[in-house]
Amino acid sequence: MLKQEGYGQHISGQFNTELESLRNQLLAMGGQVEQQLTTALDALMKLDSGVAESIVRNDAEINQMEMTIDDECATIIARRQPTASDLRLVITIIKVNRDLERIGDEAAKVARQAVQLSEGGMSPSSFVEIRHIGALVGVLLRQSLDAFARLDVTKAIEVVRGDAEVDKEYGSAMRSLVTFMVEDPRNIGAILNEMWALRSLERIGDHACNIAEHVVYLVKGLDIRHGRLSELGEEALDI
Amino acid sequence: MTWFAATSRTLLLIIVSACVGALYGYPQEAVILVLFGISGFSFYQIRRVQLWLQTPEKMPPDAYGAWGDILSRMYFLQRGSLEAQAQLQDTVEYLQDSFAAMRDGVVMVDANGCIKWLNRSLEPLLGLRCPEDTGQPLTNLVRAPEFNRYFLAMDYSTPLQYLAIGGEKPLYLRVEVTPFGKAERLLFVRDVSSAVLMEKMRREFVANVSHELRTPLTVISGYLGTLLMDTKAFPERYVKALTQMGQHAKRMENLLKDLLWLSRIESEQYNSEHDTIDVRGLFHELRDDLAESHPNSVLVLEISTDKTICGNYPQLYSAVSNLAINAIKYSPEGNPVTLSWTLQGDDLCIRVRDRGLGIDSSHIPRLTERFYRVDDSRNSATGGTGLGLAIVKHVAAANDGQLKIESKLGEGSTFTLIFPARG
Repeated sequence: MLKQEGYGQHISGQFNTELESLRNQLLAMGGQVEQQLTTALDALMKLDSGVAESIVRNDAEINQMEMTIDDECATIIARRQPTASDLRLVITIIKVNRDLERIGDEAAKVARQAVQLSEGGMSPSSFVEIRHIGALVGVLLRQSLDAFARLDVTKAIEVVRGDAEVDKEYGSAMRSLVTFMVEDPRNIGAILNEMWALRSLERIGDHACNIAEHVVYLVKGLDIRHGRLSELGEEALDI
Repeated sequence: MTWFAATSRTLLLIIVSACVGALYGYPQEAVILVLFGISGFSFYQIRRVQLWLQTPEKMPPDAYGAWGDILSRMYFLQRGSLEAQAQLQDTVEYLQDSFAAMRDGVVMVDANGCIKWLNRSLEPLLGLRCPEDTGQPLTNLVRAPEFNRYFLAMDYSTPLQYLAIGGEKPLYLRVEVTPFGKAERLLFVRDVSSAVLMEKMRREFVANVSHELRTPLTVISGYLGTLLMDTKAFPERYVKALTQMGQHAKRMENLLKDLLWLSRIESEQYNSEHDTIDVRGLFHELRDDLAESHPNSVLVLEISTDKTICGNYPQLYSAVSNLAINAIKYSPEGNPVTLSWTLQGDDLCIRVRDRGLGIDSSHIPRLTERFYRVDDSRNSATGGTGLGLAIVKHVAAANDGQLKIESKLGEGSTFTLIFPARG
């Protein structure tokens, strides 16, 4: 089991610093992505196209961060040939990096919907669904990154379970939006935009869930993706 | 018993044993026997001391001779140090308890940015867990980009205020960092949401009131304008009253316009669109405008740099025009007013200089307050709203600049807008 100090025991102090810095960079990127998501949701609620456009622009910064982290991971693998928990850490960072970048893209998509919605005016649903699911997803993302920072398997499992909740909410939100479309076809344009935004939020939830699964892999060396969590059972995780 | 007494007693014992041995004809054997006895006794004492040192809190064993003295001294020494240690521990715990009991969040961070100590109040503020998060890099858990930039820049001269994400209600945090020791830092985190919301409500109130007052005022001044078009229809004394009413309605309109403009600048402070401003063009536009509104004024332009600044054009135009109109108002007719645009070191300066009345230095610090007036008697003569310099100050702040005022009574004043030069 990987402890907090797990990778603090190398003879090469330089290696420790490199791994630590990689982790810090990834979490800094995580912070940036969290901010993008919150701002995008805020812009959507207020239909503020100015803020929404700035989010689309900022996405380039996150892409740049992804490339830097990827590059450093490759350098570490080439130069240090990490093994055991170090290897798991590097692999996890590569995967989480990708998920975070995708979340950044989805946040930018939410912002694009905000721009379009701001041109068409308020949606009849007054964004109740987006507000609700957005809050849930924001918490999931924060918890998954916290779990990664603290190497906290219990929290990570909570995130995996929370994502199922989000999927359920997404289904019912879709149904209620369809009702709005049926009631008045003039709403269809706005509702479609809202559905796209919801879809992006749901995807963000999935990516947060992936991050949490990577954390379990990092700490326990167990792969719990694709529903294997229930197969393995709680005992395997020893929590 | 002192060492001297113990030693002389031992010597005496040896001498006596030698004498007694000599009486029986075995002096050497007697001395050896006694020496054995003495060393055996010493080893026995050493063993007892060793045993006692395993649990030094207990009273030391009774011992004979110099041993007793040594043991009691050791006992008092170590009891003293235990007491001192307990007292220090108490002090440390007392301090930590007082920090822990604070409503503000407190974190101590070491030179590497890892958490050394934190209190429980941070849980609702930054989401840090006490005490599990000790040892974690702070920026890994508090990931807000604004916070990270501030924390890593190591410049803590001004506290940071930012909107923390997560949670149902907006949470505004104020972070103050005090560096101490070797690059260690002490952070105080406070929830300032209520103060921020109050401030926001105040701003919105001013804007709403101004807006609401404008509608009735437009009706009043509209009718006054119509009435004044045909002054012959009224007796002489009414005409004067109506003219004055018209003037004051106009003043009130200006006042409301300035108030609205001021509250707009304030609310745009954080998210204004920035464009590149050509100051030369701004100066020329201003000169053309002033030639119409103040035909007797003399405006001198001095432009010594082609640099541009990044900011909001309408805001900056209103600031410079406020300064220029002030300068024209407060200097004798025909005196030139100089507008200059220069690069000084790392600063770009827009300077408005007049050779007018000047301002007493005691007024300068309060000059940019809303409705502050140097002299009440000037009030109606100049027709200003009392908001001009407040607008200038806020424009400067909203565009990363600052306003500097220099003045000497009787010699004129210089108002400088200073912006950082970029690139």
